[in-house]
Amino acid sequence: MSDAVVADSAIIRVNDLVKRFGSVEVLRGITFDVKKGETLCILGGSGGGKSTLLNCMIGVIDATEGSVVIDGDDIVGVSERELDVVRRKFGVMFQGGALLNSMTIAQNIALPIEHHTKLDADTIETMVKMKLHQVDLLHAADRRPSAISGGMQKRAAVARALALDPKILFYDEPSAGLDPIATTRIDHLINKLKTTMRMTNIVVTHVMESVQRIADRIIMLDRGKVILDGTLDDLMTSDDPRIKQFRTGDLKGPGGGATSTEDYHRDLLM
Amino acid sequence: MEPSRPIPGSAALGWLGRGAARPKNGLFGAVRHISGVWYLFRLTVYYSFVAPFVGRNPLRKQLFPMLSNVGVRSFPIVFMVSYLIGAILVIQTGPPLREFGQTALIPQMVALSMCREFGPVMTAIMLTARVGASYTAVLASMKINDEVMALETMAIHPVGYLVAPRFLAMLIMTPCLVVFSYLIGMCGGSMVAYALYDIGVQSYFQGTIDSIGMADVWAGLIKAVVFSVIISMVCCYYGFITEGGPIALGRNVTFAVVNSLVVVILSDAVLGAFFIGYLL
Repeated sequence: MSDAVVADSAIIRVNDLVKRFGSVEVLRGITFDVKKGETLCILGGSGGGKSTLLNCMIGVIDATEGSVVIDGDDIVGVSERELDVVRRKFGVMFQGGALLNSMTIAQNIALPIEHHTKLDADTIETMVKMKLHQVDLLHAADRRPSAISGGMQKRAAVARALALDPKILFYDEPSAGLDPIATTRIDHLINKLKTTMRMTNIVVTHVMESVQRIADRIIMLDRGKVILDGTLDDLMTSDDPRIKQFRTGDLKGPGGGATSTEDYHRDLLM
Repeated sequence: MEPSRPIPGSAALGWLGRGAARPKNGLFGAVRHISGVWYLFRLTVYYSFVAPFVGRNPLRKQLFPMLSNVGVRSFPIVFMVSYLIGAILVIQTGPPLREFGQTALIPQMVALSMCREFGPVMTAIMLTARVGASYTAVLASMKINDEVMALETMAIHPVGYLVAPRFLAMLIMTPCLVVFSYLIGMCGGSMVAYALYDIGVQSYFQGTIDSIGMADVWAGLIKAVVFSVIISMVCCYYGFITEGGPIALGRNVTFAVVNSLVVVILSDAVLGAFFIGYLL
Protein backbone atom coordinates (compact mmCIF):
# COMPACT_ATOMS: atom_id res chain seq x y z
CA MET A 1 0.00 0.00 0.00
CA SER A 2 1.25 3.49 -0.80
CA ASP A 3 2.64 5.64 1.97
CA ALA A 4 1.02 8.68 0.43
CA VAL A 5 0.14 11.28 2.98
CA VAL A 6 -3.32 12.76 2.86
CA ALA A 7 -3.72 16.27 4.19
CA ASP A 8 -5.68 16.48 7.43
CA SER A 9 -8.89 17.66 5.88
CA ALA A 10 -8.72 15.64 2.62
CA ILE A 11 -10.15 12.14 2.91
CA ILE A 12 -9.83 11.41 -0.82
CA ARG A 13 -7.10 12.67 -3.10
CA VAL A 14 -7.25 11.95 -6.81
CA ASN A 15 -3.99 12.86 -8.49
CA ASP A 16 -3.35 13.07 -12.23
CA LEU A 17 -5.68 10.14 -12.94
CA VAL A 18 -5.56 8.70 -16.44
CA LYS A 19 -7.67 5.84 -17.75
CA ARG A 20 -7.29 4.42 -21.24
CA PHE A 21 -9.35 1.69 -22.86
CA GLY A 22 -7.08 0.58 -25.69
CA SER A 23 -6.24 3.75 -27.57
CA VAL A 24 -9.21 5.71 -26.19
CA GLU A 25 -8.30 8.02 -23.31
CA VAL A 26 -11.42 8.39 -21.17
CA LEU A 27 -9.86 10.23 -18.21
CA ARG A 28 -7.10 12.69 -19.02
CA GLY A 29 -5.24 13.77 -15.92
CA ILE A 30 -7.96 14.30 -13.31
CA THR A 31 -6.84 15.93 -10.04
CA PHE A 32 -8.97 16.95 -7.07
CA ASP A 33 -9.39 16.44 -3.32
CA VAL A 34 -12.48 15.66 -1.26
CA LYS A 35 -12.60 17.05 2.26
CA LYS A 36 -13.94 15.10 5.23
CA GLY A 37 -17.67 15.55 5.70
CA GLU A 38 -18.34 17.41 2.46
CA THR A 39 -20.69 16.48 -0.37
CA LEU A 40 -18.95 16.56 -3.72
CA CYS A 41 -21.04 16.35 -6.87
CA ILE A 42 -19.38 15.09 -10.03
CA LEU A 43 -21.21 16.53 -13.02
CA GLY A 44 -20.87 16.16 -16.73
CA GLY A 45 -22.65 15.14 -19.86
CA SER A 46 -22.99 11.57 -21.07
CA GLY A 47 -19.64 10.14 -22.14
CA GLY A 48 -17.75 12.75 -20.15
CA GLY A 49 -16.01 10.16 -17.96
CA LYS A 50 -18.11 10.44 -14.75
CA SER A 51 -18.84 6.72 -14.40
CA THR A 52 -15.27 5.76 -15.29
CA LEU A 53 -13.97 8.17 -12.65
CA LEU A 54 -16.37 6.69 -10.08
CA ASN A 55 -15.35 3.13 -11.00
CA CYS A 56 -11.67 4.07 -10.61
CA MET A 57 -12.39 5.66 -7.22
CA ILE A 58 -14.17 2.54 -5.90
CA GLY A 59 -11.53 0.17 -7.28
CA VAL A 60 -13.79 -1.63 -9.73
CA ILE A 61 -11.52 -0.68 -12.61
CA ASP A 62 -7.86 0.13 -12.30
CA ALA A 63 -6.50 3.45 -13.48
CA THR A 64 -3.83 3.46 -16.16
CA GLU A 65 -1.81 6.21 -14.47
CA GLY A 66 -2.06 8.41 -11.41
CA SER A 67 -3.31 7.71 -7.91
CA VAL A 68 -6.52 7.54 -5.89
CA VAL A 69 -5.73 7.89 -2.19
CA ILE A 70 -8.63 7.03 0.11
CA ASP A 71 -8.10 7.81 3.78
CA GLY A 72 -4.34 7.39 3.37
CA ASP A 73 -4.32 4.30 1.14
CA ASP A 74 -3.58 4.41 -2.58
CA ILE A 75 -5.87 1.94 -4.35
CA VAL A 76 -4.29 2.06 -7.81
CA GLY A 77 -2.32 -1.07 -8.69
CA VAL A 78 -2.70 -2.75 -5.30
CA SER A 79 -3.64 -6.40 -4.73
CA GLU A 80 -7.22 -7.54 -4.23
CA ARG A 81 -6.54 -8.24 -0.56
CA GLU A 82 -5.19 -4.73 0.06
CA LEU A 83 -8.12 -3.28 -1.84
CA ASP A 84 -10.57 -5.20 0.37
CA VAL A 85 -9.18 -3.42 3.44
CA VAL A 86 -9.81 -0.01 1.85
CA ARG A 87 -13.25 -1.05 0.58
CA ARG A 88 -14.50 -1.37 4.14
CA LYS A 89 -13.96 2.37 4.56
CA PHE A 90 -16.54 3.25 1.93
CA GLY A 91 -19.95 2.19 0.67
CA VAL A 92 -21.38 2.44 -2.83
CA MET A 93 -24.93 3.02 -4.04
CA PHE A 94 -25.24 1.88 -7.64
CA GLN A 95 -27.51 3.45 -10.21
CA GLY A 96 -30.00 0.56 -10.22
CA GLY A 97 -29.48 -0.25 -6.54
CA ALA A 98 -27.72 -3.56 -7.42
CA LEU A 99 -29.44 -5.31 -4.52
CA LEU A 100 -29.22 -9.10 -4.61
CA ASN A 101 -32.61 -10.13 -5.97
CA SER A 102 -32.56 -13.54 -4.34
CA MET A 103 -32.59 -11.98 -0.86
CA THR A 104 -34.93 -9.76 1.13
CA ILE A 105 -33.96 -6.17 1.88
CA ALA A 106 -32.95 -7.11 5.43
CA GLN A 107 -30.81 -10.01 4.18
CA ASN A 108 -29.14 -7.70 1.67
CA ILE A 109 -28.14 -5.32 4.45
CA ALA A 110 -27.03 -8.17 6.72
CA LEU A 111 -24.79 -9.67 4.01
CA PRO A 112 -21.67 -7.49 4.45
CA ILE A 113 -22.04 -7.60 8.25
CA GLU A 114 -22.23 -11.42 8.26
CA HIS A 115 -19.33 -11.68 5.85
CA HIS A 116 -16.92 -9.34 7.63
CA THR A 117 -17.79 -9.72 11.31
CA LYS A 118 -18.36 -12.55 13.75
CA LEU A 119 -21.39 -10.92 15.39
CA ASP A 120 -24.27 -13.14 16.51
CA ALA A 121 -27.58 -13.22 14.63
CA ASP A 122 -29.45 -11.06 17.18
CA THR A 123 -26.87 -8.28 17.04
CA ILE A 124 -26.87 -8.34 13.25
CA GLU A 125 -30.67 -8.15 13.22
CA THR A 126 -30.57 -5.10 15.50
CA MET A 127 -27.94 -3.45 13.30
CA VAL A 128 -30.02 -4.12 10.19
CA LYS A 129 -33.08 -2.54 11.83
CA MET A 130 -31.01 0.53 12.72
CA LYS A 131 -29.81 0.90 9.12
CA LEU A 132 -33.34 0.45 7.79
CA HIS A 133 -34.63 3.04 10.23
CA GLN A 134 -32.00 5.51 9.01
CA VAL A 135 -33.39 5.28 5.47
CA ASP A 136 -37.03 5.01 6.63
CA LEU A 137 -37.55 1.50 5.26
CA LEU A 138 -38.20 -0.55 8.38
CA HIS A 139 -41.59 -1.61 6.99
CA ALA A 140 -39.98 -3.15 3.87
CA ALA A 141 -37.42 -5.33 5.66
CA ASP A 142 -38.90 -8.64 4.54
CA ARG A 143 -39.74 -7.66 1.00
CA ARG A 144 -37.65 -8.57 -2.02
CA PRO A 145 -36.05 -5.83 -4.16
CA SER A 146 -38.38 -6.63 -7.06
CA ALA A 147 -41.40 -5.98 -4.82
CA ILE A 148 -40.50 -2.37 -3.90
CA SER A 149 -40.34 0.86 -5.89
CA GLY A 150 -37.21 2.28 -7.55
CA GLY A 151 -36.86 4.99 -4.89
CA MET A 152 -37.15 2.42 -2.09
CA GLN A 153 -34.57 0.23 -3.83
CA LYS A 154 -32.14 3.14 -3.89
CA ARG A 155 -32.71 3.88 -0.20
CA ALA A 156 -32.24 0.18 0.57
CA ALA A 157 -28.98 0.32 -1.39
CA VAL A 158 -27.89 3.26 0.78
CA ALA A 159 -28.76 1.23 3.89
CA ARG A 160 -26.63 -1.66 2.62
CA ALA A 161 -23.78 0.74 1.82
CA LEU A 162 -24.03 1.98 5.43
CA ALA A 163 -23.91 -1.54 6.88
CA LEU A 164 -20.25 -1.47 7.91
CA ASP A 165 -20.38 2.16 9.08
CA PRO A 166 -18.15 3.58 6.35
CA LYS A 167 -16.65 7.06 6.38
CA ILE A 168 -17.40 7.69 2.73
CA LEU A 169 -20.42 7.01 0.50
CA PHE A 170 -20.34 7.00 -3.29
CA TYR A 171 -23.62 7.45 -5.17
CA ASP A 172 -23.95 6.67 -8.88
CA GLU A 173 -26.83 8.68 -10.34
CA PRO A 174 -29.02 8.51 -7.21
CA SER A 175 -31.93 10.29 -8.87
CA ALA A 176 -31.92 8.43 -12.20
CA GLY A 177 -35.38 7.13 -13.06
CA LEU A 178 -37.06 8.63 -9.96
CA ASP A 179 -40.00 10.98 -9.72
CA PRO A 180 -39.36 14.46 -8.21
CA ILE A 181 -40.63 13.48 -4.75
CA ALA A 182 -38.45 10.36 -4.57
CA THR A 183 -35.50 12.43 -5.84
CA THR A 184 -36.03 14.98 -3.08
CA ARG A 185 -36.25 12.18 -0.55
CA ILE A 186 -32.89 10.74 -1.63
CA ASP A 187 -31.35 14.23 -1.55
CA HIS A 188 -32.62 14.78 1.98
CA LEU A 189 -31.17 11.41 2.97
CA ILE A 190 -27.76 12.43 1.60
CA ASN A 191 -27.94 15.69 3.55
CA LYS A 192 -29.08 13.89 6.69
CA LEU A 193 -26.13 11.49 6.53
CA LYS A 194 -23.77 14.41 6.14
CA THR A 195 -25.12 16.35 9.10
CA THR A 196 -25.80 13.47 11.50
CA MET A 197 -22.88 11.16 10.72
CA ARG A 198 -20.35 13.57 9.14
CA MET A 199 -20.44 11.32 6.11
CA THR A 200 -18.34 12.27 3.11
CA ASN A 201 -20.59 11.97 0.06
CA ILE A 202 -19.42 11.70 -3.55
CA VAL A 203 -22.39 11.95 -5.88
CA VAL A 204 -22.24 11.37 -9.63
CA THR A 205 -25.26 13.05 -11.14
CA HIS A 206 -26.48 15.29 -13.92
CA VAL A 207 -29.68 16.50 -12.25
CA MET A 208 -29.27 20.23 -11.54
CA GLU A 209 -32.07 20.36 -8.92
CA SER A 210 -30.29 17.69 -6.87
CA VAL A 211 -26.98 19.48 -7.19
CA GLN A 212 -28.55 22.66 -5.85
CA ARG A 213 -29.93 20.78 -2.85
CA ILE A 214 -26.90 18.74 -1.83
CA ALA A 215 -23.61 20.03 -3.26
CA ASP A 216 -20.94 21.66 -1.11
CA ARG A 217 -18.52 21.47 -3.99
CA ILE A 218 -18.79 20.57 -7.65
CA ILE A 219 -16.44 18.96 -10.13
CA MET A 220 -17.50 19.14 -13.74
CA LEU A 221 -16.00 16.83 -16.34
CA ASP A 222 -15.93 17.25 -20.07
CA ARG A 223 -14.25 14.71 -22.35
CA GLY A 224 -12.18 13.31 -19.49
CA LYS A 225 -10.95 16.62 -18.08
CA VAL A 226 -12.01 18.73 -15.12
CA ILE A 227 -13.46 21.98 -16.45
CA LEU A 228 -14.82 23.24 -13.12
CA ASP A 229 -13.80 22.69 -9.52
CA GLY A 230 -15.75 25.02 -7.31
CA THR A 231 -19.00 25.82 -5.55
CA LEU A 232 -22.56 25.99 -6.79
CA ASP A 233 -22.11 29.74 -7.29
CA ASP A 234 -19.11 29.10 -9.51
CA LEU A 235 -21.23 26.72 -11.60
CA MET A 236 -24.13 29.14 -11.87
CA THR A 237 -21.99 32.16 -12.78
CA SER A 238 -19.43 30.51 -15.07
CA ASP A 239 -19.09 31.94 -18.57
CA ASP A 240 -17.50 28.77 -19.97
CA PRO A 241 -19.75 27.87 -22.93
CA ARG A 242 -19.62 24.13 -22.04
CA ILE A 243 -20.81 24.83 -18.49
CA LYS A 244 -23.39 27.31 -19.69
CA GLN A 245 -24.82 24.77 -22.12
CA PHE A 246 -24.97 22.10 -19.41
CA ARG A 247 -26.68 24.53 -17.06
CA THR A 248 -29.30 25.69 -19.53
CA GLY A 249 -29.72 22.45 -21.49
CA ASP A 250 -29.45 24.24 -24.85
CA LEU A 251 -29.14 22.05 -27.90
CA LYS A 252 -26.80 24.53 -29.57
CA GLY A 253 -23.32 24.75 -28.16
CA PRO A 254 -19.95 22.98 -27.84
CA GLY A 255 -21.60 19.89 -26.36
CA GLY A 256 -23.50 19.27 -29.61
CA GLY A 257 -27.06 18.04 -29.76
CA ALA A 258 -28.61 20.07 -32.57
CA THR A 259 -28.29 18.99 -36.20
CA SER A 260 -28.91 21.54 -38.92
CA THR A 261 -31.05 20.59 -41.91
CA GLU A 262 -27.99 20.88 -44.17
CA ASP A 263 -25.93 18.59 -41.90
CA TYR A 264 -28.82 16.11 -41.77
CA HIS A 265 -29.06 15.97 -45.57
CA ARG A 266 -25.27 15.62 -45.88
CA ASP A 267 -25.24 12.76 -43.31
CA LEU A 268 -27.94 10.94 -45.27
CA LEU A 269 -26.21 11.32 -48.61
CA MET A 270 -22.60 10.72 -47.59
CA MET B 1 -1.34 -18.28 -2.20
CA GLU B 2 -4.19 -16.52 -3.99
CA PRO B 3 -3.56 -16.73 -7.76
CA SER B 4 -2.12 -13.55 -9.20
CA ARG B 5 -4.30 -11.50 -11.50
CA PRO B 6 -3.73 -12.25 -15.19
CA ILE B 7 -3.58 -8.58 -16.14
CA PRO B 8 -1.76 -6.36 -13.66
CA GLY B 9 -4.11 -3.95 -11.99
CA SER B 10 -7.43 -5.44 -13.11
CA ALA B 11 -10.01 -5.90 -10.37
CA ALA B 12 -11.45 -8.93 -8.58
CA LEU B 13 -12.45 -11.08 -11.53
CA GLY B 14 -9.48 -10.09 -13.64
CA TRP B 15 -10.45 -10.05 -17.29
CA LEU B 16 -13.40 -12.38 -16.69
CA GLY B 17 -15.37 -9.47 -15.30
CA ARG B 18 -14.30 -6.90 -17.82
CA GLY B 19 -15.51 -8.47 -21.04
CA ALA B 20 -11.95 -8.84 -22.39
CA ALA B 21 -12.78 -12.53 -22.73
CA ARG B 22 -15.78 -11.78 -24.91
CA PRO B 23 -16.51 -14.77 -27.16
CA LYS B 24 -14.23 -14.75 -30.15
CA ASN B 25 -14.05 -17.17 -32.99
CA GLY B 26 -11.20 -19.39 -34.02
CA LEU B 27 -8.23 -20.81 -32.23
CA PHE B 28 -7.40 -17.57 -30.42
CA GLY B 29 -10.91 -17.44 -28.94
CA ALA B 30 -10.73 -21.08 -27.84
CA VAL B 31 -7.36 -20.53 -26.14
CA ARG B 32 -8.72 -17.46 -24.36
CA HIS B 33 -11.74 -19.38 -23.11
CA ILE B 34 -9.58 -22.27 -21.89
CA SER B 35 -7.20 -19.94 -20.07
CA GLY B 36 -10.22 -18.10 -18.64
CA VAL B 37 -11.69 -21.33 -17.25
CA TRP B 38 -8.26 -22.27 -15.85
CA TYR B 39 -7.95 -18.86 -14.15
CA LEU B 40 -11.43 -19.24 -12.65
CA PHE B 41 -10.55 -22.77 -11.49
CA ARG B 42 -7.43 -21.56 -9.67
CA LEU B 43 -9.39 -18.79 -7.91
CA THR B 44 -12.17 -21.25 -7.05
CA VAL B 45 -9.76 -23.78 -5.54
CA TYR B 46 -8.27 -21.00 -3.41
CA TYR B 47 -11.68 -19.74 -2.23
CA SER B 48 -12.97 -23.29 -1.63
CA PHE B 49 -10.07 -24.94 0.15
CA VAL B 50 -7.80 -22.18 1.49
CA ALA B 51 -9.75 -18.97 2.12
CA PRO B 52 -12.44 -20.50 4.43
CA PHE B 53 -9.70 -21.72 6.76
CA VAL B 54 -8.01 -18.33 7.01
CA GLY B 55 -11.29 -16.52 7.69
CA ARG B 56 -11.56 -14.91 4.24
CA ASN B 57 -14.57 -16.72 2.82
CA PRO B 58 -17.18 -18.09 5.20
CA LEU B 59 -19.11 -20.65 3.15
CA ARG B 60 -21.45 -22.03 5.78
CA LYS B 61 -24.59 -20.12 4.75
CA GLN B 62 -24.43 -20.65 0.99
CA LEU B 63 -23.18 -24.24 0.84
CA PHE B 64 -26.15 -26.14 2.28
CA PRO B 65 -28.81 -24.68 -0.04
CA MET B 66 -26.49 -25.45 -2.95
CA LEU B 67 -26.00 -29.04 -1.80
CA SER B 68 -29.74 -29.42 -1.64
CA ASN B 69 -30.20 -27.91 -5.09
CA VAL B 70 -27.54 -30.05 -6.77
CA GLY B 71 -28.15 -33.29 -4.88
CA VAL B 72 -31.64 -33.64 -3.46
CA ARG B 73 -33.49 -31.83 -6.24
CA SER B 74 -31.54 -33.62 -8.99
CA PHE B 75 -32.27 -37.02 -7.50
CA PRO B 76 -35.70 -37.60 -9.17
CA ILE B 77 -34.42 -36.92 -12.71
CA VAL B 78 -31.24 -38.99 -12.15
CA PHE B 79 -33.42 -41.78 -10.71
CA MET B 80 -35.74 -41.81 -13.70
CA VAL B 81 -33.03 -41.62 -16.37
CA SER B 82 -30.77 -44.23 -14.71
CA TYR B 83 -33.68 -46.66 -14.24
CA LEU B 84 -34.62 -46.31 -17.90
CA ILE B 85 -31.01 -46.65 -19.10
CA GLY B 86 -30.64 -49.90 -17.11
CA ALA B 87 -33.89 -51.19 -18.59
CA ILE B 88 -33.00 -50.11 -22.14
CA LEU B 89 -29.59 -51.80 -21.90
CA VAL B 90 -31.32 -55.13 -21.21
CA ILE B 91 -33.98 -54.57 -23.88
CA GLN B 92 -31.38 -53.76 -26.57
CA THR B 93 -28.65 -56.28 -25.73
CA GLY B 94 -30.89 -59.14 -24.58
CA PRO B 95 -31.84 -60.53 -28.04
CA PRO B 96 -28.25 -60.96 -29.38
CA LEU B 97 -27.13 -62.48 -26.07
CA ARG B 98 -30.07 -64.90 -26.14
CA GLU B 99 -29.16 -65.87 -29.69
CA PHE B 100 -25.81 -67.09 -28.39
CA GLY B 101 -27.33 -68.53 -25.21
CA GLN B 102 -25.52 -65.98 -23.06
CA THR B 103 -28.39 -64.31 -21.19
CA ALA B 104 -26.53 -65.09 -17.96
CA LEU B 105 -24.11 -62.29 -18.96
CA ILE B 106 -26.86 -59.65 -18.83
CA PRO B 107 -26.19 -58.62 -15.17
CA GLN B 108 -22.47 -58.26 -15.88
CA MET B 109 -23.09 -56.23 -19.02
CA VAL B 110 -25.49 -53.85 -17.25
CA ALA B 111 -23.25 -53.51 -14.19
CA LEU B 112 -20.09 -52.71 -16.16
CA SER B 113 -21.91 -50.31 -18.49
CA MET B 114 -23.52 -48.45 -15.60
CA CYS B 115 -20.32 -48.24 -13.52
CA ARG B 116 -17.84 -47.35 -16.19
CA GLU B 117 -19.94 -45.31 -18.57
CA PHE B 118 -23.64 -44.64 -18.25
CA GLY B 119 -23.77 -43.82 -14.53
CA PRO B 120 -21.29 -40.93 -14.61
CA VAL B 121 -22.06 -39.74 -18.15
CA MET B 122 -25.86 -39.69 -17.82
CA THR B 123 -25.59 -38.02 -14.40
CA ALA B 124 -23.25 -35.40 -15.88
CA ILE B 125 -25.67 -34.73 -18.73
CA MET B 126 -28.58 -34.35 -16.32
CA LEU B 127 -26.57 -32.06 -14.03
CA THR B 128 -25.40 -29.91 -16.94
CA ALA B 129 -28.96 -29.42 -18.11
CA ARG B 130 -30.55 -28.97 -14.70
CA VAL B 131 -27.85 -27.31 -12.59
CA GLY B 132 -25.13 -26.06 -14.96
CA ALA B 133 -27.57 -24.03 -17.06
CA SER B 134 -28.97 -22.41 -13.93
CA TYR B 135 -25.43 -21.57 -12.71
CA THR B 136 -24.77 -19.69 -15.95
CA ALA B 137 -28.16 -17.96 -15.99
CA VAL B 138 -27.96 -16.83 -12.35
CA LEU B 139 -24.39 -15.54 -12.55
CA ALA B 140 -25.01 -13.85 -15.91
CA SER B 141 -28.12 -12.13 -14.61
CA MET B 142 -26.25 -10.98 -11.48
CA LYS B 143 -23.42 -9.68 -13.65
CA ILE B 144 -25.80 -7.76 -15.93
CA ASN B 145 -27.64 -6.22 -12.93
CA ASP B 146 -24.35 -5.02 -11.34
CA GLU B 147 -24.87 -7.40 -8.40
CA VAL B 148 -21.41 -8.89 -8.96
CA MET B 149 -19.87 -5.43 -8.92
CA ALA B 150 -21.83 -4.61 -5.76
CA LEU B 151 -20.36 -7.69 -4.04
CA GLU B 152 -16.89 -6.57 -5.11
CA THR B 153 -17.36 -3.12 -3.56
CA MET B 154 -18.53 -4.74 -0.30
CA ALA B 155 -15.14 -6.54 -0.23
CA ILE B 156 -16.92 -9.85 -0.86
CA HIS B 157 -15.06 -11.71 -3.60
CA PRO B 158 -17.58 -12.84 -6.25
CA VAL B 159 -15.71 -16.09 -6.85
CA GLY B 160 -15.65 -16.86 -3.13
CA TYR B 161 -19.28 -15.97 -2.56
CA LEU B 162 -20.90 -17.20 -5.77
CA VAL B 163 -18.66 -19.82 -7.38
CA ALA B 164 -16.98 -21.65 -4.47
CA PRO B 165 -20.26 -22.94 -2.93
CA ARG B 166 -21.56 -23.98 -6.35
CA PHE B 167 -18.30 -25.74 -7.16
CA LEU B 168 -18.17 -27.55 -3.79
CA ALA B 169 -21.83 -28.58 -4.02
CA MET B 170 -21.23 -30.10 -7.45
CA LEU B 171 -17.99 -31.75 -6.30
CA ILE B 172 -19.67 -33.37 -3.29
CA MET B 173 -23.01 -34.33 -4.79
CA THR B 174 -22.03 -35.65 -8.24
CA PRO B 175 -20.23 -38.79 -6.90
CA CYS B 176 -23.20 -39.41 -4.56
CA LEU B 177 -25.63 -39.19 -7.47
CA VAL B 178 -23.40 -41.45 -9.57
CA VAL B 179 -23.50 -44.15 -6.87
CA PHE B 180 -27.30 -43.87 -6.83
CA SER B 181 -27.26 -44.05 -10.59
CA TYR B 182 -25.28 -47.36 -10.47
CA LEU B 183 -27.77 -48.92 -8.10
CA ILE B 184 -30.90 -47.66 -9.79
CA GLY B 185 -29.66 -48.62 -13.28
CA MET B 186 -29.04 -52.14 -12.04
CA CYS B 187 -32.54 -52.23 -10.53
CA GLY B 188 -33.98 -51.15 -13.89
CA GLY B 189 -31.98 -53.86 -15.64
CA SER B 190 -33.06 -56.43 -13.09
CA MET B 191 -36.78 -55.69 -13.58
CA VAL B 192 -36.57 -56.10 -17.36
CA ALA B 193 -34.29 -59.15 -17.11
CA TYR B 194 -36.87 -60.79 -14.82
CA ALA B 195 -39.77 -59.90 -17.09
CA LEU B 196 -38.19 -60.84 -20.44
CA TYR B 197 -35.54 -63.45 -19.66
CA ASP B 198 -36.78 -64.91 -16.40
CA ILE B 199 -33.59 -64.06 -14.51
CA GLY B 200 -34.46 -63.99 -10.80
CA VAL B 201 -33.70 -60.82 -8.82
CA GLN B 202 -31.41 -62.66 -6.42
CA SER B 203 -29.39 -64.37 -9.15
CA TYR B 204 -29.28 -61.07 -11.11
CA PHE B 205 -27.70 -59.22 -8.19
CA GLN B 206 -25.40 -62.15 -7.42
CA GLY B 207 -24.22 -62.00 -11.05
CA THR B 208 -23.72 -58.24 -10.68
CA ILE B 209 -21.66 -58.56 -7.51
CA ASP B 210 -19.52 -61.31 -9.02
CA SER B 211 -18.79 -59.33 -12.18
CA ILE B 212 -17.74 -55.90 -10.93
CA GLY B 213 -14.72 -54.99 -8.88
CA MET B 214 -13.75 -51.92 -6.91
CA ALA B 215 -11.71 -50.68 -9.90
CA ASP B 216 -14.95 -50.37 -11.92
CA VAL B 217 -16.62 -48.40 -9.13
CA TRP B 218 -13.59 -46.14 -8.75
CA ALA B 219 -13.41 -45.56 -12.50
CA GLY B 220 -16.95 -44.14 -12.41
CA LEU B 221 -16.31 -42.08 -9.29
CA ILE B 222 -13.14 -40.51 -10.71
CA LYS B 223 -15.09 -39.62 -13.83
CA ALA B 224 -17.81 -38.10 -11.63
CA VAL B 225 -15.29 -35.82 -9.89
CA VAL B 226 -13.73 -34.72 -13.18
CA PHE B 227 -17.15 -34.07 -14.73
CA SER B 228 -18.29 -32.05 -11.73
CA VAL B 229 -15.26 -29.77 -12.02
CA ILE B 230 -15.80 -29.33 -15.77
CA ILE B 231 -19.53 -28.55 -15.49
CA SER B 232 -19.24 -26.11 -12.60
CA MET B 233 -16.23 -24.27 -14.01
CA VAL B 234 -17.42 -23.99 -17.62
CA CYS B 235 -20.94 -22.92 -16.59
CA CYS B 236 -19.77 -20.36 -14.01
CA TYR B 237 -17.20 -19.02 -16.49
CA TYR B 238 -19.85 -18.36 -19.13
CA GLY B 239 -21.99 -16.65 -16.49
CA PHE B 240 -19.21 -14.28 -15.51
CA ILE B 241 -18.21 -13.25 -19.03
CA THR B 242 -21.77 -12.29 -19.94
CA GLU B 243 -22.21 -8.66 -20.89
CA GLY B 244 -25.18 -6.90 -22.41
CA GLY B 245 -28.74 -8.08 -21.99
CA PRO B 246 -31.10 -11.04 -22.29
CA ILE B 247 -29.79 -12.09 -25.71
CA ALA B 248 -26.23 -12.39 -24.39
CA LEU B 249 -27.57 -14.30 -21.39
CA GLY B 250 -29.44 -16.79 -23.56
CA ARG B 251 -26.47 -17.20 -25.90
CA ASN B 252 -24.07 -17.84 -23.04
CA VAL B 253 -26.38 -20.39 -21.40
CA THR B 254 -26.40 -22.25 -24.71
CA PHE B 255 -22.60 -22.00 -25.01
CA ALA B 256 -22.19 -23.18 -21.42
CA VAL B 257 -24.40 -26.27 -21.83
CA VAL B 258 -23.03 -27.25 -25.26
CA ASN B 259 -19.38 -26.70 -24.33
CA SER B 260 -19.76 -28.45 -20.97
CA LEU B 261 -21.22 -31.50 -22.70
CA VAL B 262 -18.54 -31.52 -25.39
CA VAL B 263 -15.75 -31.31 -22.79
CA VAL B 264 -17.46 -33.95 -20.61
CA ILE B 265 -17.66 -36.40 -23.53
CA LEU B 266 -14.07 -35.62 -24.59
CA SER B 267 -12.75 -36.17 -21.09
CA ASP B 268 -14.88 -39.33 -20.84
CA ALA B 269 -13.11 -40.73 -23.91
CA VAL B 270 -9.67 -39.81 -22.54
CA LEU B 271 -10.41 -41.19 -19.07
CA GLY B 272 -11.99 -44.33 -20.56
CA ALA B 273 -8.87 -45.03 -22.60
CA PHE B 274 -6.67 -44.35 -19.58
CA PHE B 275 -8.68 -46.65 -17.30
CA ILE B 276 -8.71 -49.48 -19.83
CA GLY B 277 -4.92 -49.11 -20.15
CA TYR B 278 -3.96 -48.74 -16.49
CA LEU B 279 -6.79 -49.36 -14.04
CA LEU B 280 -9.11 -52.08 -15.32
